[in-house]
Amino acid sequence: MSKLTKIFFCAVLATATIVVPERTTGREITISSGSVTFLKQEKNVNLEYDDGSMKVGRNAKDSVPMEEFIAQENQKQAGRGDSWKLEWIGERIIKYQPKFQELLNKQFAMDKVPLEFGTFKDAKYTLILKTKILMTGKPWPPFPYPPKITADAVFVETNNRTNPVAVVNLVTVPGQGLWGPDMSEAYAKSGKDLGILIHWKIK
Amino acid sequence: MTIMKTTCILSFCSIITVAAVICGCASDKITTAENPASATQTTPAAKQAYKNREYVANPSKIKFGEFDLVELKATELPAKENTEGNRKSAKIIDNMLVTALKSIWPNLKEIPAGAEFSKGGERTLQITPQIEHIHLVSVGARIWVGVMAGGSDLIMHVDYRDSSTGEIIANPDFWKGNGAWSGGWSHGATDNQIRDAVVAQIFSYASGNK
Repeated sequence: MSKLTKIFFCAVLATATIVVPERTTGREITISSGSVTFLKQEKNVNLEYDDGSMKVGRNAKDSVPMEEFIAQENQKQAGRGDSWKLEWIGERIIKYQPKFQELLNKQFAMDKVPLEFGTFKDAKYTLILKTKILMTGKPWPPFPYPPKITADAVFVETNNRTNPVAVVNLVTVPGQGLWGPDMSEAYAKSGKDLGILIHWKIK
Repeated sequence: MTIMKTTCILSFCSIITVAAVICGCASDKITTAENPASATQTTPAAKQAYKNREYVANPSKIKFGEFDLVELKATELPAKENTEGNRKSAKIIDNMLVTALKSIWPNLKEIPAGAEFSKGGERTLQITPQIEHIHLVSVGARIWVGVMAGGSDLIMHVDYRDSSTGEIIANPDFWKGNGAWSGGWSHGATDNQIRDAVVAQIFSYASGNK
């Protein structure tokens, strides 16, 4: 092997060492209880979001309840946590939730399956996306990692919300766009994954 | 041998000269008791980084829900930062603000830059967003100089005025910035998200005070 080839392989290996951990995650999606086959008969499903019990942190290990996280950030610098909260509430409504809904519905629209998720207060079933952990990630070297979310997609009857019909776990979904970290991508991927799973189960 | 010696001496001299010039430029003027001539020259206060400043977004004096009519002025730029690139950014911010705020106030009226708010007798909430400071590193700069292009910052000040009294009922400040490393490593992705984040803060403030 020539010297130039060796240098080339070393460069490729070094790049892979830096890039691959950034892109790969322990992302998984599982149905933890119930079944989603009841959606075969449905045309519209009401969609709601819940982040009341959400934990926030740079990664899953150091995540704390949101109010505690805001207090911690405010202690580091006055107003920083409050500013983060304002940003989170705004981006959640403007970017994250619309992306989740768009990618979820797209999976059915592509194959012309007559199922749509949205604001349908009269629908028999409601899907509640409960964000459990919001990992803000670290976008700088030496070991950057993207933001991620862990969420539960809980299907309930709209008029009887005590007993979930089905629960789908979305674990460490990464917010990694083509050019860099983006939290809205985590919601978009969650919607896409959930849509593919439901489409596969009701086919 | 003589040439090498001369080169070494010249290199050493040039390094010393450059170092002296740099140190001379960077040194603060120090006030000393022994030197009364320089007693009036004080050390200038270090400029606080944008990320270390406090940005206050106090709640509004009057709930925005009391207003039926809402008008939004186009985003204003400070005179010294009124460049082509920044005008584009202001336009992008305006478009995002209109889309976001129309979800709260569907009959939101846009007022173009330089125009005045309408003079009708009805009570109106007049919103004037202003960019106080903007420095967004472009993707091109990130590709060519990466981390060395520095971080990005965007500070916006928004005045909410009650047309019936002319009083400013809220004047929050919003800031978002990123570090040079985060911008460089994400190839400018975090730089581009700064405008979205500030618009999200403005939207969130408006909906929270409605």
